[in-house]
Amino acid sequence: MAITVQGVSKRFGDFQALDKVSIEVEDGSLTSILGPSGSGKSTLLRVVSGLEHPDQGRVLIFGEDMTHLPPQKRGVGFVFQHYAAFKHMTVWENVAFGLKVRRRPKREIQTKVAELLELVQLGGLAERYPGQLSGGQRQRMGLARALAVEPKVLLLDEPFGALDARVRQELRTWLRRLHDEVHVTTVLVTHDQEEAMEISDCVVVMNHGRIEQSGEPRRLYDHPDSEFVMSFLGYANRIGDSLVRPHDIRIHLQPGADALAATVRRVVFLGFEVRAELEIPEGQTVRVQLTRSQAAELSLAPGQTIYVDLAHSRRFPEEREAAA
Amino acid sequence: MAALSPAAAVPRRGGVARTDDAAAVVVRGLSAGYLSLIVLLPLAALLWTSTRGGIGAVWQTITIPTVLGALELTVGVSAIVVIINAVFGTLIAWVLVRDSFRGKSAVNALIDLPFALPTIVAGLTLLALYGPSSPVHVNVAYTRMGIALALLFVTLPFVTRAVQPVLIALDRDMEEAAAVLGAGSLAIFRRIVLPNLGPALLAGAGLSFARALGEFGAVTLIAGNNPLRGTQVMSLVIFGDIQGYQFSSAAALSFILLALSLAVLLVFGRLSRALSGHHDR
Amino acid sequence: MSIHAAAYREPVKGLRNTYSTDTKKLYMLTLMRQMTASHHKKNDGRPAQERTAEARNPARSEIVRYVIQATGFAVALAVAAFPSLTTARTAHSGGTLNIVTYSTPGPVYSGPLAAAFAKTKAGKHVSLSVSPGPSDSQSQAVANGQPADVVNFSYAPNIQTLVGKHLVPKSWDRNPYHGNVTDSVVAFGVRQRNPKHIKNWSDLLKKGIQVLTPNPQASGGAKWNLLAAYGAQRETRRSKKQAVGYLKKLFKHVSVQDTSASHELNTFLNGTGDVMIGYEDDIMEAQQKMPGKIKLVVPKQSLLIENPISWTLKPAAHNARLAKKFVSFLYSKRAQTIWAKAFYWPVVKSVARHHHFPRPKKLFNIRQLGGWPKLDPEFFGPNGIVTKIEQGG
Repeated sequence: MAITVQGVSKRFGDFQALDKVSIEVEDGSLTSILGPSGSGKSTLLRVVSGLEHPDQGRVLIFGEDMTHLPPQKRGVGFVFQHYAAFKHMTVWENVAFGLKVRRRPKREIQTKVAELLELVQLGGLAERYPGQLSGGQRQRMGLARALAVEPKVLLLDEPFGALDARVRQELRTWLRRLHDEVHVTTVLVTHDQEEAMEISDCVVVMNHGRIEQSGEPRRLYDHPDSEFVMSFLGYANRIGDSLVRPHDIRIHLQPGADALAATVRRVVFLGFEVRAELEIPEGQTVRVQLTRSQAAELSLAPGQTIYVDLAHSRRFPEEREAAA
Repeated sequence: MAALSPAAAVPRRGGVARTDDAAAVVVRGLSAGYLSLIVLLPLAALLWTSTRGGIGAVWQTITIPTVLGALELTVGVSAIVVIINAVFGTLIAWVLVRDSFRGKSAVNALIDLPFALPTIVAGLTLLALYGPSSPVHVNVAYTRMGIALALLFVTLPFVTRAVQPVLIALDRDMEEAAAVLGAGSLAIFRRIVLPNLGPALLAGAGLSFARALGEFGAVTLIAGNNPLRGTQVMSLVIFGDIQGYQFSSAAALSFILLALSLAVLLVFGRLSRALSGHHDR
Repeated sequence: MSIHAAAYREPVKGLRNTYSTDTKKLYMLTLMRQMTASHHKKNDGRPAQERTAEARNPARSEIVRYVIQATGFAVALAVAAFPSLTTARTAHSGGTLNIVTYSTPGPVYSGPLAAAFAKTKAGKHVSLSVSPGPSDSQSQAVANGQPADVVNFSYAPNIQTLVGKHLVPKSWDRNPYHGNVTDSVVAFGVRQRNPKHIKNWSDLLKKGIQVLTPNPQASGGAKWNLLAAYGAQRETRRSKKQAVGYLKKLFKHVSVQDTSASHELNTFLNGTGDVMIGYEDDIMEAQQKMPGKIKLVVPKQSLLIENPISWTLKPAAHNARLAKKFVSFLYSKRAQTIWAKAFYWPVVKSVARHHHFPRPKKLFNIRQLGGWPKLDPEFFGPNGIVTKIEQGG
């Protein structure tokens, strides 16, 4: 295992940020820690990096107990949400920083930094200052800076959180490709389920300082252990005591066995997909996801009465909490 | 001098308020008028008085051995004071921003006291504490050490107050990033914190240097004012001239001090801007 | 001498001016000038220096005065708008006399002399507007237009400046007292019981003795002190060269050179120095006020200090008739007694007879040394003897 976290707890005053958290991160994997804000995901990452010290529990990196080592001695790379660029240094100096601190030979620094800048596509901007870069460029610089010291594990704390949607999407894909190229064990903290699903080999869902569930993205989506995981990993409608995904609701124009009558309230065209908002007799609004062709076939109009049944639904009888 | 204000670090990108509507004209006129009345006019008068006898007369005044000695002492002591201020002012700012302890807000309020106290009272207090009847048996009265002490007292707030807000605003992420990259606390301070404090530090240092050059109240009681023992600073020479009604000599010496202060402020301001030039976001 | 004499001098310097004035502006102007020229006693800058171009062209200093006055005027306007801020009382029907004086006699004028004058026929309902300050500055201020009906300076050249400006009659010193209203003498102040046994000028050069005397560049009092030291050597039949040699050695013993005699006194009272050179009246006053802190020692030879007075001419004068009466009053038995109680030597013999001041065995005056016009440039000019010594030459 690249990273092993055993029973780590951390309090900030009255706030229990981490509550006996244990995870294992496989060597070479890209793992996402997913959770709402305040779930403890960033704290967990910071505990792994050594920027926070746990009240109890252990942190091992490649089998070595790092619990009491300062961040300087852990051999990790860290990328910050707000870049943490060294404003007074050029891009080149930023990337070279870790190597300079380590007193590597000048020539080695030269080659290494040039190589990394090429890798993150900042080759031509070496002499710029961070203030002269776009957000996406700054974050790529942050990544190059973290990679320069050849970390055993790479930790990214909401790396795309401060970027706009388009850049975010681009960088996400790019990061996955980079990971496939570099193969460094990577842990990424995010609150964006789509991001987690898209790029991770493994997703760890956190809530209230605890791990809710972890595993492959697909498995988590299809077989959530809790209502929280189900609703956090995608939209879920509540019908009675069942939770159902918008694409697991079938719409019929005629009544049938087990079908519920519903009224169409709104039909939204989102390009490829079409979203219908229905009102069921209990007064709840239910969201249904259709393909364009399905929608065309049904030709739904607001006010129309239709009938729905559920392809898959889930019940979580011993729900600890309602979905956050 | 305005170049040293923290706001000057922000580059001018074609002003938003660069309109010439009536309000802007009035505001500009008012500030220009006020500045002229309060600063420019007296300075012009001083310049005129000091140079009416020609630059030669000014030169003659400053080449008097006692004046030259006083000038040397003033600049030297001020430089030492500025260095000590830079170190301890930053240290105090650091403790006030980064440390938490009981009575922190009281200490924070204490920093401004040297500004609030009439400087002559500061001199009197220092004399009582570190003079011939010192309760702690430290007598630096009428020595260069005493002068430095008085100047240190009155210039304390400059660096601390300049550095403090910058330190508060300083991105902690940067320090954490450096730590993860392997930099120890000293390296973090030297390579990350200090360069970011640089402009503010220089601004504070510049102001305290200028203040030290011209300070009179605090040193008048504790300086020996003895050219033969090198304890006469420029402000005391000027004061002596004024007392002896030697106004043109006093004006010439004031002019020298002013020019020196201005030069120091300009140099520090330029350095400060050079340092902060690439910090813009 | 009287035990109560001390009451004639206010203990807190700078707070002693409780005089009335009829115009607030004047009050403020005076105050402004005092602020810029500091708050010192009579010895603040006596003899005029001629080492700068300024002395040759007094107009040059006018701009500075102008700025100060303009500022003062602005403040005065503000103060006039807020009458409660001022302490000035309204003028009496008998008129006002503007007294411009060097620092020390300020409280004597505004206190006992004002009270005594009010009891005379001439002084009934007259209020005194007293403006004290360093002598040189005061003289220049009057020359530049400060209203003054009576001027009292710490040495004659300050009056001579005004004679040159036709503001003081040429005949000002043609009276039995040579125009002086009070006298004093240069003396020593030593620690209680005189532990270093300092009796005479030669004792100041003993090994390890720390001497205080103000900086002659700033303080006219220092000039009196140094000329007394020089004169004492000449009086004991030393050559001029030997006397200058004495001054050189003396400076090696001077640790602190304060900006004024009052600073010097404070420095001494605070514990620095073995002996201070100063005015007998100052030291006697301190001796009385702070018993055990200082002791007066009058050396065997010393220099007479003479403080001249005169009424003025227009445009400085506004009430010359009253001014003349006031000056005559100052020579009255009553007024001279008041001076004596304030530690000044009376100049009127009949009064002096009743007040015994410690005197040097050999008393010499400034004219015997050559007179101020000769001595001032010779000692304190740009290439003067003392100037050279101060420069380490």
